[in-house]
Amino acid sequence: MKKTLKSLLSSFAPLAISAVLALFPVLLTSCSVKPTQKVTFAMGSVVSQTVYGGDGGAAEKANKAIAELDGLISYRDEDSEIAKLNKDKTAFLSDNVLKLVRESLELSSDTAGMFDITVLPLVKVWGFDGDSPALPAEEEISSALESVGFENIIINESSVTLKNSAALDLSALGKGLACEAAVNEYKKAGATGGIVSVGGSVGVYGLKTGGKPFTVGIRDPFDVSSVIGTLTITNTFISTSGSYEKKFEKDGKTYHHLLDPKTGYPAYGGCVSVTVVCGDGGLSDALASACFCLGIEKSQTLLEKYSAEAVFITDGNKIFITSGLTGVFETPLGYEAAYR
Amino acid sequence: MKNKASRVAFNGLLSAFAIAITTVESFLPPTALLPPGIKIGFSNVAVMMAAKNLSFSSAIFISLIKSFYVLATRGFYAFVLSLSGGVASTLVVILVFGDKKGRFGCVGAGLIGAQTHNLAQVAVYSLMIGRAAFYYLPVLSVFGIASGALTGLTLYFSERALKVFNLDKLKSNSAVWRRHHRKEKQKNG
Amino acid sequence: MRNDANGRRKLLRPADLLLAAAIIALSVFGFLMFRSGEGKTAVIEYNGKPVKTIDLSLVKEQYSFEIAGDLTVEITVSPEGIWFSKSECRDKLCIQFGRLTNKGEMAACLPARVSVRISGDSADKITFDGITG
Repeated sequence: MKKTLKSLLSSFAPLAISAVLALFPVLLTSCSVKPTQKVTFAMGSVVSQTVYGGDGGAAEKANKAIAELDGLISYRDEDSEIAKLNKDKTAFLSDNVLKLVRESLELSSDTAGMFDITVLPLVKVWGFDGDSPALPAEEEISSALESVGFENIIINESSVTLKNSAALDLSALGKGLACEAAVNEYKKAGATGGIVSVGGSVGVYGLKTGGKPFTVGIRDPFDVSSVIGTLTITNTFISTSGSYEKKFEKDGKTYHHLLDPKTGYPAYGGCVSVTVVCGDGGLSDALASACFCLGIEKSQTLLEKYSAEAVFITDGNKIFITSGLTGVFETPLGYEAAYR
Repeated sequence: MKNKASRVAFNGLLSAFAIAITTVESFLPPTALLPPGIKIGFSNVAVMMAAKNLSFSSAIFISLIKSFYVLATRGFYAFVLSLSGGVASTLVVILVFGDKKGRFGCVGAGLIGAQTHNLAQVAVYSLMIGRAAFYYLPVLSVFGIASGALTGLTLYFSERALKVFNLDKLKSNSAVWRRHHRKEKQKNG
Repeated sequence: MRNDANGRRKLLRPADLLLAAAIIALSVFGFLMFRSGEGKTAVIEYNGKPVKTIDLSLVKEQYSFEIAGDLTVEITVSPEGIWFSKSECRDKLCIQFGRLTNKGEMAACLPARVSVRISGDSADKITFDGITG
């Protein structure tokens, strides 16, 4: 009896071992996380996603979330809460949208009006909401300016009223918000990591294959096929505002889309590009526009208040970074630290 | 005495030859057969001939003359490249011709000279311009084989001409010459 | 045997052929090595340090820019390649290098200390998972 058992085992053992060895590579490959990649179009920009782990449906859910967000805040979508508010001048807003308006108001007061979501009439007069922007007449600008000003927003519990024919444009936060919506879907789907970019805003979460944080390149404002440096970072949002993104030339002068809500003309803060890193998606986007208009010096207290970091590229092609990015920002070119 | 004067004259002849060839080569435009920065390097025949049939010091002398000529006509950067390539290849060629076992033939000497010239130039070039210099090395090396072989061949066949003028016995410090000189001395008592 | 029948050094010895073969082999190896790698990144260096990297696969239309080295040079990039288009140097050798299209090719302006090379080396390629801006 014992003898047959022994002989059975001895013939079974090599079979078992070879079976395990054969299965091993199969087991390994199913364990390795293959990322899902998806490229779509939303909010007037390319949405590019790479998700690691999770149930594989995270990217699709993120796209839905972004579409939902757009449906709530886009002034172009006549069914959105914002569009309805702009039309009727008074409306009830859902909690999330109301929160955005409140945040924007706080930012407006922090920047002494340099950041202002009531700039829509101004944007329209310049044509930056379309494909052919042009230099408007002075009267057009001053007439539009009459409706611009964050004091025109009155909040009464959950209803908002706009005075002086003001109209809201949340696109300064939109792309950053979209990134955050996507990242939230990744977290819900149990993903181990993911990176999403909506236009120029990027959201990073977790780690990619190999347990490494993500590398985000910062586009060279003077050469769009080039990158001036990279940020190696995760669990945050990165947005950039640059004069090179939308601009036109007339009579030798260049006019870009980042308008100063007080003068009505393109803002000049000394930089051609500002990249902000912040734990809040919408804020990273809004702060990027705000810091672009404010310039390096005036941006410092603002960034500190919101615990955000930034990379500034001046019009002299010099790079400045805030102290929190040392070790995160890498470039073959030289850079100086901004003062903090 | 006669020999010394002949040596000096020959030295001058070779130097003039080197300079003349350098001048001619500088007029050659870059083409597909001759990429930018690459010259035939024919003037090295003079250097090799000096290393073989005169003295090692005259070889270096001719090489330096060439480089200073380049300094005067083509500027500082060309000078630096010419000097680095020239001195390095001359030293190596001296080693080759000083080798008693004769491991390399004339063509080999030409090849070594050309390759050393290229390597030294690229090294110096890379100090000034960075990694890009090394990208050119494969091209330079392949052309170096052609030019090295050509100079080696020319050297070999010009020895025949030398013999006619009795110039092949001018080497002042080679064992062969000394042996020959001793023999002559013995003959003459 | 050092010298041949006439007392002259031999023309060709076995070592010569070996040497030629070795040089060819090394050159081919170097040539292949510089042409290998992923992507096409143009690296512009001044004094041996990179000052600009361009991912040539992203270039859609032709444009030029200046690099202020010891002398100022103008470099032009197009979907076909990259080249020196203008230079303050005397010899204009940099311009004669012509247009660089493949990995392993280089051009340089020595007086300006500016060089351009097309590299497939991953160390030169600024890789990133996403891009902002």
